[in-house]
Amino acid sequence: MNYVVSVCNLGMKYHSLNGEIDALHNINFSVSEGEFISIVGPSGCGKSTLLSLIAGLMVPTTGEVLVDGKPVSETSDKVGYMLQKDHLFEWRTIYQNVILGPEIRGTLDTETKEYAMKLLDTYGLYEFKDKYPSQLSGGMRQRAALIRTLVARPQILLLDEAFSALDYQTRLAVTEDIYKIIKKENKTAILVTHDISEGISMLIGLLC
Amino acid sequence: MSDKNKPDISPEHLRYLKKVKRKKQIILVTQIAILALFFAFWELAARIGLIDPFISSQPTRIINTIADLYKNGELFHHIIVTCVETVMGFLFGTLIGILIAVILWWSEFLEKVIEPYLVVLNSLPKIALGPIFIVWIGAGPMAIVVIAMTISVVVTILEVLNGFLGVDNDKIKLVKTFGATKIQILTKVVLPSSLPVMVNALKVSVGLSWVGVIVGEFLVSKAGLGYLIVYGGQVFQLDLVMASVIILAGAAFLMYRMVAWFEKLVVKRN
Ligand SMILES: Nc1ncnc2c1ncn2[C@@H]1O[C@H](COP(=O)(O)OP(=O)(O)O)[C@@H](O)[C@H]1O
Ligand SMILES: [Mg+2]
Repeated sequence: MNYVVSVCNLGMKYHSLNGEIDALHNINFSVSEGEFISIVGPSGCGKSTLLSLIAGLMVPTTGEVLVDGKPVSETSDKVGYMLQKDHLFEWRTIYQNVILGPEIRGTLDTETKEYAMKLLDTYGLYEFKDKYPSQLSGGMRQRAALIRTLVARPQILLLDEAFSALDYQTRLAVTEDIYKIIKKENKTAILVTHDISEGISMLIGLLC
Repeated sequence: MSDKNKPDISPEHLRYLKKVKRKKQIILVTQIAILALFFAFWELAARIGLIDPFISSQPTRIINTIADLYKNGELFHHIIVTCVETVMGFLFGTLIGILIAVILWWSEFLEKVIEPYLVVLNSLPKIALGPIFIVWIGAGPMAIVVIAMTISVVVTILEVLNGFLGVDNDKIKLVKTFGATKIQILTKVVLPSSLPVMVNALKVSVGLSWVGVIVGEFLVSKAGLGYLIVYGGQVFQLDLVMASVIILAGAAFLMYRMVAWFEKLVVKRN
């Protein structure tokens, strides 16, 4: 069986004048196609660092990450990264927000625009496409952020405490919502969280 | 049709709206009344000899002075000279300030190197450089614009750079996950999210530019409201001084309103 993501002997040290921080040390795991894994650990244990390394935003101190069998050296459109907060841009409409990825990559064509519209329609945000983020509820914003990640057509989704900014009620609904969307779009996903219940609600495999 | 689309307004809400409107009207009327009373009292005090109109002037004499200026065709010349210098001063100040802020945001090395110089320049009263510019550029409107610009440019650099550096790092991380280049980070995240900061810097620049232009006209003494003020003072024509100050207040107020309107237009969503 081929792994979509393999993390081998991964280590990351941050350096500052106060000394160095050993954020990650000798991490190994692999994820197969279509799998949805959760990684649970306390704040500061290096979860965000791990995802940033998988996304190719940083260069690890030791070891390497393989995506589709190839070592990661820079960001790629294979990996979609959903941050803790939705970070929708207040000065863009929802539609302009969700096409941000292709716009930056320079791959924004009619087909991608139609795909964005289709996703907005499927996940109940079509009527809100010309509204600004401040006019949406927390759950809707989170969905818009997920669509923004999906429009770039990643194979792998990285979710960094993607729902902890929401209140409990909304979170339950959105977590289920998003889980369904990810399954439906048949994506491989890695979710990290400090909240065990959030991890378990999406649990397929547990690490850390 | 339009009635159908309008949501029903309850009588309570209607009463509330009326009350708010009323309050606004009362405030406006009071403001105008204060101004009218002030001028009426000034006029009266001068007429009954409570104050000496030779050194304090008086509203009727101010009006006559403005009328005279208008008749010999000087009024608009001076107003336009001062306004054009001011607008050029704050436009150049803001644009150059933002440009330098972008450069310093781009290169952390440059920023660190320049920082102490900026701090010194910021605490230096830029007016002190006025005579230098006049010698270099020549006693004319260009020197005045440069003085006005110098005053606003330093504040703009500091304010805008601060805004750039305060942009949420996660927003930058987000566009980086899409492979954004540094120029894209600038145009897609840093500039748009700093728009309110930049407009605010513009507002501050407008005020500073007025100061620079008036002082510049004091020094150059050729044309403009600042020239009229300094000239009137030298020949002991307080009517001319007061008239110029009042025109200046009106022009400054109008320009402030225009900038406030521009701000509303640009940063409506923040
Ligand atoms: N850019 C950075 N510079 C220095 N130290 C960092 C940086 N990012 C994270 N760290 C440190 O690395 C450790 C792991 O951080 P992080 O990956 O954010 O953990 P988590 O996401 O699990 O809360 C923490 O001790 C944090 O202080
Ligand atoms: Mg984290």
